[in-house]
Amino acid sequence: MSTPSVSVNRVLKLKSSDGEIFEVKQTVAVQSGVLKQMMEDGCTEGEIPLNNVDSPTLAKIIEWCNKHHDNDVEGRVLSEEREKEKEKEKAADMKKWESEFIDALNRDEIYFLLTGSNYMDIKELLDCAAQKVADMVKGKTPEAIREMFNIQSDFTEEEEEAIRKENQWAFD
Amino acid sequence: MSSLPPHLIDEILSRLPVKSLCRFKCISKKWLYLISNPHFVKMHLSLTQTLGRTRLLVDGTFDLFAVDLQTVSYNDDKITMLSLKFPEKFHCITCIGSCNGLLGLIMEYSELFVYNPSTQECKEISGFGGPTEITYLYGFGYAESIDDYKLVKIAGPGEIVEVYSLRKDSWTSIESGFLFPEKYYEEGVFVKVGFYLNGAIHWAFENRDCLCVIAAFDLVEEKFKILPPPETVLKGNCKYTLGVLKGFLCLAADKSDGQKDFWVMQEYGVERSWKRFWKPKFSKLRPLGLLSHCKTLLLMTEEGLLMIGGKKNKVKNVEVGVMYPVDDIERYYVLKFGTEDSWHNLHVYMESLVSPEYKSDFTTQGNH
Repeated sequence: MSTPSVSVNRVLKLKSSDGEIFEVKQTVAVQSGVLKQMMEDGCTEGEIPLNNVDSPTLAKIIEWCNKHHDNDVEGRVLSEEREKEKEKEKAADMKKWESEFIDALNRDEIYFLLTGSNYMDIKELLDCAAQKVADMVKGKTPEAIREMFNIQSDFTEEEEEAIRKENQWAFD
Repeated sequence: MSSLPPHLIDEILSRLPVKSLCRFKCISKKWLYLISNPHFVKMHLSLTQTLGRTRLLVDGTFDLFAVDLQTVSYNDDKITMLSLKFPEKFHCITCIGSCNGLLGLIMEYSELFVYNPSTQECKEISGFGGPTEITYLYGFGYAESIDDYKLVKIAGPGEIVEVYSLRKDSWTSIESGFLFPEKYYEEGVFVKVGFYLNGAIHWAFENRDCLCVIAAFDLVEEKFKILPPPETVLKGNCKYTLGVLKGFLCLAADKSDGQKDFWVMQEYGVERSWKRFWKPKFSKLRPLGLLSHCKTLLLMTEEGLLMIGGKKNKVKNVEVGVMYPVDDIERYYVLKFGTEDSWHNLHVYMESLVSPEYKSDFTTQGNH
């Protein structure tokens, strides 16, 4: 993998949409596809404005990236000494951390995390947030989904009735 | 969630179970189009594979019964399957293959269907005939490079192969130049089901020289290929059973003197990649799948269902039963395997939105 020349000590200054500055180690920031590209292009001097991410969301995103970075480093150093079992245990611990992290968020926070991780191109976080939303919506009625996603039905009453009838079993 | 860009809506919806998606088709025209779009269907399928949403199915009776494998664990002593309420009435339904959430089904040895049990869509395959008193070899699978599902029907000894394409919705006859040995297709049941893997339907049998043969009918090229069997596999009065484990082809050998063998081909089509795993104690061993949530291996054998797991990787027998209503009361019936009058078999299928009514990316894009 072509990783840009990053040193452990170098930090990036990220500026949230509401003007707060966050310092992040370069080695942590590479998890964001966007920041990685900027580092490769050598344009990370000064403050990096993230106009679509507010400060509470950016704080959460950085918390996530720091946690996953710690895990990576530890894994690399210890993998030779540790047995396979320990590795598995650690993966399970990470899963647990991820689900606690995501479960603690309310609906708006998840929405901003989803759009923020999309904007910054952090695939793992995007997957995790999308799965959380999926778990939230899977048992809901069509009416509740329309309200949640602010959708107006553009079917006629007859059309909607026909589609419902065809999929009647899915409503049981 | 009101202003999510469309690709994030895709990301969320592709992680939903099929049942939720079918319920959400009536939300708006946009959602209906998205959920039926072949591109989305494929995206959903690949995530379902990653999430491991699989079900165990039993056939060989008047209906199909299934259970979600995520609800099954090593601690269970019995597995209870519920009716899939197959929309047509038959005395006996046999599954001839499971692929990307679609099942190939044959009813009373004559009528063919392609069925998606997750969406309950069902398609009867017409133009399917021939004498019913002879043995046929069947298979069902997916030809990825041409995005087509095919049913294969072969009357012994096998020189003519009839192939149905879901994409073309028609049958073709192919001269295969291949013959199955009489002792294979004349023996036992009237329906012999081939095993689908890697774009081909596989059969394993003993030839006239008492050697193991693995024949693979390629669904793209529509011709037979021969895969190399393990060099030192048991031979002479042997019966062979194929299966798949983590995407690898498996071969179990049962010799008439009671010896048994179990092999896994770690690189498809490569002879030296065969590895003998164990000398099993069970006949007609066929791995069904791995339950990753409880690190348990499910195995089908002639005697029934087995699980290997727990702290000491111990083998245990598992009872398989179905619930169905008699006089409006749900009753539990234990299924028997491997007896003279038992036609049941277990299969694994995935939840998917793939429709038996073939839709290509091209035609749907044309409509919108």
